[in-house]
Amino acid sequence: MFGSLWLALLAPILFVPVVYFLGRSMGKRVGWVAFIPLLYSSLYFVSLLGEVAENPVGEYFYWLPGIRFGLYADSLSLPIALTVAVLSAIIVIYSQPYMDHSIHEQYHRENNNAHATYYALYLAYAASMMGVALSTNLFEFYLFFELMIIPSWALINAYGSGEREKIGFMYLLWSVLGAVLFVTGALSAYANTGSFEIADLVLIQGSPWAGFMVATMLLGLTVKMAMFGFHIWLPFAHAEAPTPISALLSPAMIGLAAYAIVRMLIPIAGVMDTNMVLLLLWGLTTMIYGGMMVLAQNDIKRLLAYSSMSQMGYLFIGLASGTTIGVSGSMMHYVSHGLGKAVLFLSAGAIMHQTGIRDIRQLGGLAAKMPVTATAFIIGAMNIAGIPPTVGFTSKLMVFMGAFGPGVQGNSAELLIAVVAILSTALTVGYTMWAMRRIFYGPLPEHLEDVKEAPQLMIIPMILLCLLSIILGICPGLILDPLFEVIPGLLPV
Amino acid sequence: MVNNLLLLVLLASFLCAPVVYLIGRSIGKRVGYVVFAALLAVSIVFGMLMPVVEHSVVLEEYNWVVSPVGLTFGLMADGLSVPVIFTYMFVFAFTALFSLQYMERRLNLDDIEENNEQYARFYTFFLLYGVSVAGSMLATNLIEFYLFFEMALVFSWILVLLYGYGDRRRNSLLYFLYTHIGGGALLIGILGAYWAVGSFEIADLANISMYPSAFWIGIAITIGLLVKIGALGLHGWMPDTYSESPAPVSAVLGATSVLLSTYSLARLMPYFAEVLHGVSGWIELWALMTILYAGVMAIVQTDTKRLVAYLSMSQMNYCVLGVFTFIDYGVLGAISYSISHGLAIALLFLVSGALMYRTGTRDMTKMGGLAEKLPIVILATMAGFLTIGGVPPTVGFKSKFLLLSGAFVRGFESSWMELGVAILAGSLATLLTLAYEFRAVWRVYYGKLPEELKAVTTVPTMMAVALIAMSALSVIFGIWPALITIPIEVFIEHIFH
Repeated sequence: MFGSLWLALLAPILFVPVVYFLGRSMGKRVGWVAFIPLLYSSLYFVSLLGEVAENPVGEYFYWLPGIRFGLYADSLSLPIALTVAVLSAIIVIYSQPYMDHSIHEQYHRENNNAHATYYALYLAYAASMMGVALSTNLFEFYLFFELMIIPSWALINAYGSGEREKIGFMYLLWSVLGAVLFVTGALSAYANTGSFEIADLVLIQGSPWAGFMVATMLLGLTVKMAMFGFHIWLPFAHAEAPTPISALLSPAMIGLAAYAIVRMLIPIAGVMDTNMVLLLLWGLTTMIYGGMMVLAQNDIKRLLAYSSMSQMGYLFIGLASGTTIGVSGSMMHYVSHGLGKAVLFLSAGAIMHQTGIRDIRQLGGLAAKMPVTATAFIIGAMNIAGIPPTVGFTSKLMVFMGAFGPGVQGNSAELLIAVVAILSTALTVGYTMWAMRRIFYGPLPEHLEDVKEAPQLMIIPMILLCLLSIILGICPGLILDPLFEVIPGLLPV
Repeated sequence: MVNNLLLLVLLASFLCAPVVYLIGRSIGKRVGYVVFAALLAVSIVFGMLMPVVEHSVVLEEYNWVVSPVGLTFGLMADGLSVPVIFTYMFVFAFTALFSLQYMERRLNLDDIEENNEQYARFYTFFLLYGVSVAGSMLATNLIEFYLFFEMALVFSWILVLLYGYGDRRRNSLLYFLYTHIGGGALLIGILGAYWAVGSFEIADLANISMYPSAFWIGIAITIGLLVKIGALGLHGWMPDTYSESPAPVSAVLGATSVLLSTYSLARLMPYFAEVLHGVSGWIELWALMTILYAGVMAIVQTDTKRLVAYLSMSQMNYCVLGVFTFIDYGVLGAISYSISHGLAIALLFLVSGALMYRTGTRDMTKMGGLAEKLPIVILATMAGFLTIGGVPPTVGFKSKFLLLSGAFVRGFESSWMELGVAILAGSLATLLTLAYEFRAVWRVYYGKLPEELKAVTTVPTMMAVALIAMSALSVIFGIWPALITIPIEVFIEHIFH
């Protein structure tokens, strides 16, 4: 297909001013204009999917003399970038009815400027996430990593609900904390290797400072991933962001940190692999703590936010296992959690849009009134809980197979962690199904008698995402086979 | 190209001053447009020199004093001075444009009588100030450098004295004394250098490290310049002068502090790298202490201009940190960070001026929800804050990243202290910066709009143009950093290899 990786990345960025200026006169319909570059990026990435396993695509240029910036699509980075692109393209359609409603609520009038700004920021945000996935250079990676913070902060700050300014500020500070920790490690690595190339990071292997560098970078990235201890910001930010943005923030953005760990830190022998028990335990804690907190929530979006935190625990366990199957499973889980959690957020948004209620205690029996939304929610929940035929089944299975690898060969602590982790997936099934029951079944409260199904522009994106997760569930090889080609090469020997 | 281009530009801009004064007396505030055009023209000339200095140096020499010291009057434009002067003049030009409406408001306060004479004076001194600073950045010998440096001080002092707010006599005196004492230290260094190497030529400093007095000469010059950049302990003048000057004057004062000091440090200090290497770690630490001290002070400010003043003091010292790493990327980062900072700090002072122009207050506790009312001002604020905080897509990102990478290299080469400085400057100081910046954004632009600000309307056109132009330059340099980095790299190559 016509194009290049740079074009796929720059298309959304170039559309930022276009969307802004058109939006000032077009209002909400400018969402369709914003859809164009995202669709292009998605299609371009799809067209590469078949070939990258044999021929990874790399495009390079010199941003500054001596500093080479590149975009690199192999069968590890492409599925990630593709997930981001597809999610943003689908969610931008969903944004139109949703944001129209919420902007009306906020300003009590038509406000074209608000629409224009929203879609402009949205594109900048989507592009920076793709940039993070495709970067080849630490300087460049950090550029996109920081760039990602600003539009997402602005979106929460200007369009969120509740105490949005306070939460936006909190989100910003935590994100920056993660970024500066990461950059401390990255610059230390540069000072020792003399290169900003991500591929050259392995050169720090064996240096007395390797532990420090890997630890700071890892901590920086786990702030983004909202691992236990660094998770304070997540329930607030993801619950109060406008719902389409939550659907991007929650699965796509926080999972990018896991991808970065695989790309940058896993290949470095002698740090993560020697502290495996500690990392597995951290993953397990995140998983269980997040899952327990879900059970305590009554707010539908906060519930999903904690569930994302818990799922990050799965990703982390997979990549901490340091086995091919575990790491591949973790990346696969990025894709499946991306699809599943986005559907859940979108259907939660649909419920809020139709009923104006986000407190689960006031909901119930909606399956009869909103059948499509209910179905989408079930499929999303199955995906998160790892139930076939969704792709969540494959990815979760692989994460656990990976976790058992070192468990069976290694000591009993690792085995115990793997066993507890598997047992605690019951928690995911439990909380998703319980939420289902509370929202969609049981008696219909009186104030919900007149509820109707969500508008088509909200339903179609949900259906698309559900279809994708089932298609991938039936043919996981589309992503997995190529993944298996790359991951062994990244693991330390 | 014209043989004596630099001399012509410099002379022409100095000669503009009497013309501006005379015209100003009859046409009043519109003379601001003349000054804007003149300064923009100078800026454009230096912009056009940018590709030239990527592979050569423009050097002009004239005999000045023949005997007994044999002074020449030289002007040199190279990879260091051209991008710096271009940005500096750009900032000056658009500040002049901004000042049109702002100064009208200022001159209508009780303590001064508004008349054409006042406008004529203001713009004359404003122009002279900018041109003097450009002169000192073009100088090839230290006496010439010092001459322009002191001239700039006098003109800026006059601006603070005549047009400041509050107790402007006290503030201007404080400013003059501090900077003059700094100038004195600088002069001691310059004279010491003359007695050591027997020449005032900057290029002749190359052998300075052979002389036993080199260490103390380096220290004297450093102290002189650190006063200008407001290093902790030498900063007594800075918060008051910045916050009590009219916004356009604060803007150019801020830009001058950072650009002139960093320029001078980058120009002179590499010659002292060998002798100062032992103490440079301590100077880095000093810079870090300033960054943190002023950062904490910035958090507690409720006055927009004092916030920007402390912010400026804090962030400028990154440049000191960068230069004293004596690592190529550190110095490169420091120079380009000074360009980003000069641009952004001027922008932020103008923003606080625009806020005051429209809301009549500098107190952030009385503001809120202004994002809807002042869309261009919030964009400019974000551009300024992101540039200073080193966040993409602005030029600040690249500059700070390079500066910090130099600091880390230095840290791993040297001792724990330098490494600690690099780590804290990269993490804690950055976090602190973004914290007070975004808190200010929240307080001023979001939250509830107070009743008395319901009637606020958008800023006048010329102010908007100035704000947009400066924000745009920051983003352009941010997306296409090679524009300024390639010339600076040529200079860096020259001093390090």
